[in-house]
Amino acid sequence: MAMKQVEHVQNKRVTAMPPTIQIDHTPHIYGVYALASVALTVWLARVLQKNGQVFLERVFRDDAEFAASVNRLLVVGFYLVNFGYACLHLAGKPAYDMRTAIELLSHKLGELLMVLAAMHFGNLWLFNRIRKSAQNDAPPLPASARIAPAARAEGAPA
Amino acid sequence: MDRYTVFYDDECGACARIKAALAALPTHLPVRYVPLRSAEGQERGRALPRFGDDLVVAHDDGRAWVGPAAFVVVLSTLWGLRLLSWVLAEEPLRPLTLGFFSWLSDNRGRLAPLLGARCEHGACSLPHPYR
Repeated sequence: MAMKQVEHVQNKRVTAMPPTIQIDHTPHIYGVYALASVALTVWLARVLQKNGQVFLERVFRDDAEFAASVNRLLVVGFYLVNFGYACLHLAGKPAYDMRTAIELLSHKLGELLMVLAAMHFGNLWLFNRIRKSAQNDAPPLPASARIAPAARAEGAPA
Repeated sequence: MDRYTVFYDDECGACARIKAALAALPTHLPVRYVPLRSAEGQERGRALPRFGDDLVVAHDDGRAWVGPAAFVVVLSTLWGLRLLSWVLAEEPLRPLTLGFFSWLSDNRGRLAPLLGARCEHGACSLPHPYR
């Protein structure tokens, strides 16, 4: 009987403990994510702008102004795509413990870095296309037919 | 030296308007615009089946681009649009680009009034032979 009473008291003590306070780390994650995405995007855009300018000036030797213009447009496009993606990707599940918070942040930053990498390689591909097209004046599509060469009809009036 | 000749339909009002606009733009390669029905057009285009039914761009060496592909080649000769033409001609944009120019060509009769042009003798409604 006495034992049962003691157990009853212990049970009461357990249930009387205050509930654990759950801290939502999501706002902190948002802050770190926003800072990191802005910093990464700006850093990569500056690297691209600096190196892209050198590259494009060499490709478009005859028109430095055009090279600078293409470079600026590419950088603006880069900013738009990356900031747009970063904003769209901000929302996430709430993180009530540090482990979940770190995993969430890591996941978000990892995805952002993959997009930045894709954009970076996309820019490299584009620069390479520009270089190739500037080096030779070959048309962008292969010829689909053959007609008489111009020399044969040179004298013909237009 | 690369030189291109654009054979356009001079009886099609829309085509003539577009040709006039394109001919006024600066190019980085020499480009000539020659009517399809001219002596040179008939001489050079003889080997091409259904020559005269659509836009044709030809290199001096005899290579030719017909229909939507010809539009892309014309773009590539224009100053400042070469890069755009290369991007448009790359996969996955290529089918969309060719489809767009094909649509433009097919609907030149309808587009003519928008350009303030007339199509004499139904020239703008020629069937598209390269679909």
